[in-house]
Amino acid sequence: MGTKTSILILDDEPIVIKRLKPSLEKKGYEVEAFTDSREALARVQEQAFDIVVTDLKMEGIDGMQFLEAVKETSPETEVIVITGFATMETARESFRKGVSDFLAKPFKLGEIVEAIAKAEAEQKKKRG
Amino acid sequence: MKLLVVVDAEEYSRQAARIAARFAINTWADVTILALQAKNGDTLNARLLDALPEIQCMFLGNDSPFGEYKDTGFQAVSDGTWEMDRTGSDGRKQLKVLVRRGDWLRIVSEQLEQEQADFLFLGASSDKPEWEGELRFPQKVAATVPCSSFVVKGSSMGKTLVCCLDQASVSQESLEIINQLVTIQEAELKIVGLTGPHGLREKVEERMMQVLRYYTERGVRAWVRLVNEEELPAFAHEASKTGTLGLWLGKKSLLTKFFSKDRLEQFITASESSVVILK
Repeated sequence: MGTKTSILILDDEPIVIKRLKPSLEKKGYEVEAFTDSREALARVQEQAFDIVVTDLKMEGIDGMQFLEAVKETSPETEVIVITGFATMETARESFRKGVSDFLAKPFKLGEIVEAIAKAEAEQKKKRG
Repeated sequence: MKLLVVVDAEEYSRQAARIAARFAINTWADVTILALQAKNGDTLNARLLDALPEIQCMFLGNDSPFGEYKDTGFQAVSDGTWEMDRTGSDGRKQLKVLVRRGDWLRIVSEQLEQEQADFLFLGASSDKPEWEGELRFPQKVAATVPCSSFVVKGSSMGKTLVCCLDQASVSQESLEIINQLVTIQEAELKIVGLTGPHGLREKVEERMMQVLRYYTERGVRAWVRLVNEEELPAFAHEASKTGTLGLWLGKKSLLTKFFSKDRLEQFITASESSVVILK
């Protein structure tokens, strides 16, 4: 892994990927993006990412299963959930599983950038 | 997501705040409550000060992302603006309360811009179309602001959300706001397409089908219905009796032909239930 913070984005809506990936790359992050949760899962099992941004409601492996798998494979990875179908229950469950933030759609780019910055700071603190 | 909840001291504002609080707690949104007071008041209005603790408490509680209750008191931040940050030390999201006086429409626009809010809530009375003498204020806000807004009438959203669509370009933000509304309310979604003298425009039909597919793939119960353009005002009025009505009023929307700014204001005033304006 390089010196840049690595981010994996998983969202089955291509429009979300199209919007987030180039914007985060411009901010200096190393970004890989997936619309297919199985492919994303295979990738996180190959490489540990600093931050994972995942949608919840998806075909195949859903976001909850995905974030569980990420935390199991790489407990240091900070996970941010983005969802179009937020409920108190999904928020609670996400935090129980160790996510660092929960963002409901729609959100502005600034909001996800802020959540990523907080997750980075948290990770640095944990790593000492 | 960031929400702006515009209130005064009346009951319709409490109802709007209740619905906004439910939405905010489910979506873990950052919230700014903007309380508007009479234009000539130099000090904080006593009725607003009485109403605001109750409104703020609606956003707090066990499942709330705003943390524990704390009361730091209002600080004057500039001439005619008072602010209180109600985010508890254990809060994950921000809850801010502002009281402002001045030109209300301008204040709401300024605050939206400043907060970069995605969705705006405000209440309207069913029998009195004004806020402290400002005629059709919520209606004017909904017709003017660039983001989607929810004009709340009554205490519930109902179990149906009827959204009228006539344009090929529908913003992703508006689709996502509908997702959140129907999820939280467990409501049924009806998408209404407008047909003109030559039937449904091809691009609109295509977009309607895409929208329907978008929702059904995500497990949202959605139905499609066609309504003739000329019958739209009557249809919309009828639909507003049983649930919340959503109008997509984007820049390219033909609905703006039926709901020009004045007619939209009149429609919201006449509507028996809440209206969501999607942009």
